[in-house]
Amino acid sequence: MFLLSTMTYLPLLGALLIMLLPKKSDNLIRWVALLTTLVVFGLSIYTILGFNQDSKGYQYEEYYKDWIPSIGSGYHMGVDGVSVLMVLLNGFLFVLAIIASWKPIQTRVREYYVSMLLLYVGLMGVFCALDFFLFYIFWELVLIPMALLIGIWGGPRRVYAAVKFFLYTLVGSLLMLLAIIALYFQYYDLTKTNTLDIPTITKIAPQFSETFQFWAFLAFALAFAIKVPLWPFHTWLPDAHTEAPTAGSVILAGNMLKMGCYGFIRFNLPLFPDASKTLAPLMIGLAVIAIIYGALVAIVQPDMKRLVAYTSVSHMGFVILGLFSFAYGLRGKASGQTTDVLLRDNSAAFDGAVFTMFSHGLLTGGLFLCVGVIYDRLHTRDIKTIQDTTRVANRMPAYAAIYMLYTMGSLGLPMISGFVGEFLAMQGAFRVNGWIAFGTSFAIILAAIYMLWLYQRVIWGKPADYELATGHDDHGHGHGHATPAAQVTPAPTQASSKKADLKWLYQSIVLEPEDNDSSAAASHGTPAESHTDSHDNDHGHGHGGDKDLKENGAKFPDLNLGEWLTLYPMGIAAVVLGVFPGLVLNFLHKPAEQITAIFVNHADLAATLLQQVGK
Amino acid sequence: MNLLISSSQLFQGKITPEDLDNLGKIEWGALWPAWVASLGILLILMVDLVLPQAQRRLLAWLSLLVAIASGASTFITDYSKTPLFQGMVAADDLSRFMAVIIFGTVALAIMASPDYLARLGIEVQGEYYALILAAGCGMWLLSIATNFMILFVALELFSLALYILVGFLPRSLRSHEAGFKYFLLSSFASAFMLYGIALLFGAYGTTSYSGLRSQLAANSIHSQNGLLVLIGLAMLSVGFAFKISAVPFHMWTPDVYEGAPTPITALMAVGTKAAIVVAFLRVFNGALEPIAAYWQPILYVLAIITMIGGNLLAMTQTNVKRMLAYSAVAHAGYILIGIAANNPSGLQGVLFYLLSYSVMTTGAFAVVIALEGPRGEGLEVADFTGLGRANPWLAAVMTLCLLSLGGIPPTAGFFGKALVFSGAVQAGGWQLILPLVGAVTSVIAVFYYFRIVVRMYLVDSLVKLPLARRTAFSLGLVLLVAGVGTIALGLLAGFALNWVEQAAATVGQLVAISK
Repeated sequence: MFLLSTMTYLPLLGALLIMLLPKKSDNLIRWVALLTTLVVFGLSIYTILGFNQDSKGYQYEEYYKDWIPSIGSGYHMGVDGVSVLMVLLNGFLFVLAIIASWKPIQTRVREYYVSMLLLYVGLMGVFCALDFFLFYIFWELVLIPMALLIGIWGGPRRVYAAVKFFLYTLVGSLLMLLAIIALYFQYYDLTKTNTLDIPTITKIAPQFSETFQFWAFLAFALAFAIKVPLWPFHTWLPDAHTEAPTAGSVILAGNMLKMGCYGFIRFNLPLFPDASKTLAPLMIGLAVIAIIYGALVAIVQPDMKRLVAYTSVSHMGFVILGLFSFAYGLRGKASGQTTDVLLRDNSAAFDGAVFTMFSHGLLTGGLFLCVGVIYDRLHTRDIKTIQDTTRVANRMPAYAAIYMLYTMGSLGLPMISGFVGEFLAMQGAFRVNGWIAFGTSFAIILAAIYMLWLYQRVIWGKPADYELATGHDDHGHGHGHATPAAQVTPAPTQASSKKADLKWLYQSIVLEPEDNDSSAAASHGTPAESHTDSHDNDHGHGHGGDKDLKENGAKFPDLNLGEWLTLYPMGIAAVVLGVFPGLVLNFLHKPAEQITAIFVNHADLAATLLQQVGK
Repeated sequence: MNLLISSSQLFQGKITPEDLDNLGKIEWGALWPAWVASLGILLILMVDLVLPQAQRRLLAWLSLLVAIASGASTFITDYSKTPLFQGMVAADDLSRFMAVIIFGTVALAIMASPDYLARLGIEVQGEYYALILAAGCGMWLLSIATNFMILFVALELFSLALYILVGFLPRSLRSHEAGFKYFLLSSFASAFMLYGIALLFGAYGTTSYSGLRSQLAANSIHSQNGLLVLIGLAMLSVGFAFKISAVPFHMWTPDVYEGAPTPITALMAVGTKAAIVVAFLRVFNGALEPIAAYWQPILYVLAIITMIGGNLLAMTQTNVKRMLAYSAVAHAGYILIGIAANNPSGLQGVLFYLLSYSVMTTGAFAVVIALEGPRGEGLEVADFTGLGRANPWLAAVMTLCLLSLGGIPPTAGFFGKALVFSGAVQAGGWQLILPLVGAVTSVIAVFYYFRIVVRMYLVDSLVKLPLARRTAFSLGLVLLVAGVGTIALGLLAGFALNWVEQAAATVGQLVAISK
């Protein structure tokens, strides 16, 4: 009965349990966290299976009216087609995030999982809350654990990134708070009753005056645009992503960015239909800039994670493009269109936007996991260093394969989920203006450039004649990476590696090749990963004089169990959605219809008003 | 003479037999908290004489008992909601509300003290606790005054007690300096206030709030006494702005807060501020309501520069006590938003803000008390490094209180801020600038509060961990109350809000009285 509340507060229970566990039980803590997320994931599947796609309005509602009666705030939870998808995405990604943190997080394990589960509470709540006050609490609740995740377990500039992330999003939230207060009084002026209930306020939304809608729209939009993030409010994102731990990045990209998009769908469109139409060109413009700009900047990033972060900016642009193409398409019924016609013509844009939200969670989440895999082995994300170290494709074939899938999905190859969303969003944009669709289609080409080039450098590093290039001493430092803190020395420049090549040439002529064996063998035993590895490729390849293998084989064990369990399910999910987009799209008919109804009703209202004035 | 005329004018409208009965009546029962506190002071001073040195710590518990009894006694009195003692003090829900806040704060300050006093080697304890209770008594009287005479006497009562308490540390020059500075500047501001009162009295011949209000409502500000009223208003504003530490008049705050013994700092930051704010409400939103158009712009400007100035200055502080002092200045700015809004939402916001501000500020200062060393060291932001590991509970309470001060939900501070903002949003018009400035400065505030949080959790301490001193039981209780209060007021705000609503309504009831 209290399904949504159970899903929201179960992680809180898990967090409390973890806090009570004895100090040195790191593994137990991990298992508790995993079990909690698994149970919630199970519940979210149960929710979506029981969800009736053909009924209007919210389902699984829980309404306790007198939570804070004096300000009209009630405890109201419920999901519609859009939010139930987000709940499922939450459930799925958190399980993977917990598994992905199993090995990399070895310090302050208890605090880590407590933060993770608190973050879960906030994210679940945001998508389920149907009361402004409740929503705002969950919205802000997300900030603190995420800032801690970045700030404690992040990279070298973690504190800067955490504080920037926190302050940046806080500015937007506070303006949203003011807008909520204004909305509250606006509702009070119109009806003389107090409420903060979202569906109730939405019902009378078309009566809000145009000026009010304009300013309230802007205040809400700023909060959400920062969260999405839309150009030019995106600058916190690359920093936060780059410094966050892998699982943090997955959640950040997969779930938290969706909070902004969800906000646009839940609040901006239905609450301010007039302003949505008036300001749609502005939002579309910003979205187009975000799409192109994110893609262009991504190309030149030297850091893998930063690159993926900028692709997020580009992809999230498609969501906003879709949403506001949809709003733009619903401008009035001057030409005598009925709701059904409007819906038929414009729903593609809406579908595309929400689909992109979902698929971006899978694909970008997957890409961040891929970055994490390399980072755990080499302790760098610098593309050049990876390129110069080894040819990853030879060392880690299973990894190369799944990485390829994410690359292709991200650049929009059909049959993978990324394509569907972008295609639909662009189709919607085409109805607004052909040139917009034309312009954004370049993003696909740019995506091909940055994704394929990234793949080439990371996976197919070291030139084909790498056997000549291996064996020099520069790469000997990486052996001791059993301690997580060990850092690889900066990438050797091209010149120095040339010099090293000559040295190796000299050694190979003068000395016996087996001399290098001892060091390679010694380093073999150290990394913990190679033991749990199901694909220990050292034995598979033997010692056939493969210098790179001797040097780097032990450093680059192929995917371990945890990585298999995270990367492959996510990839499979992306493919399934790419082949059967209807699985997601079916949930979107009713939400799109409802928004359309609000827009059309409003146009009706305006038309009757005009008639009355005319008489 | 004038007084008599004005009071006869006041009752001109309708004089019922009941009114005549009340005329000579002295309602002793209405002042229970003050009686209990006063008797307690005498008791403590006497017990102090007979107790042997080793047993003096009992005094803390005794005075705690007195403070709690004073606060609780307000619940046994049935307030008639009319002014008592011939219109000298108000007996309404707001009085009860303030008794709880002020004596609650006094109780917390007392509980935070024994361990602190022992650490700093202070042996004169009887006077210390007696003065704290006297200050509490004065604050409460200030908040229930409905006559400028009582207002001023109460002001002096708690100020005199605080002058001594601020300079209480025997071997600390800084403490003596703070005491003296507070004495000089505060007297100066009191003089301003007194002058303002005198001018208003000169204009209308009354010192009672309700009398002043009816006169202001009846006479146009452009009449012959208008100039006197306006100058008096300006003087009063200066006096109140000084006491509430709004920005151009805030200079004393950081020095005094830093120099005073930390429990006293907490008492001043919370209790004094709450009392002054409520007096502010009763004078401005009550007595001076008819000329609101004249004082509202003053408060807008004060609020804006206080929020900006307080937060910007706090940002550069490295000493936590000073930072909290500047943050107290900034919070005065947020409170002023609600006062300036001059509508029910704003007033409720102010009162809720006081409630939440008292728990979260007390909590933050309690953590500072727990960390402070015998010679007043351990107060730099850097000293908080690694506290998250050394003492997770202290760090957790500090984080909670700082988040609340920053206004992050679901803590109490968020609710206070949201309600105050909602007052201004409801007032609309130019007042919308106030919450906008408030929102932006809140982000600045979160930045400097976060510096402490970052120190506690995110920076690995390589040099030394903070003193792993055991937190005394009584201080632990303070931390518990503050921590639980901060969360509970946020999540279960409904209960507190009902109460705040009732209390806020009584500010407006002055209207009914004056009619």
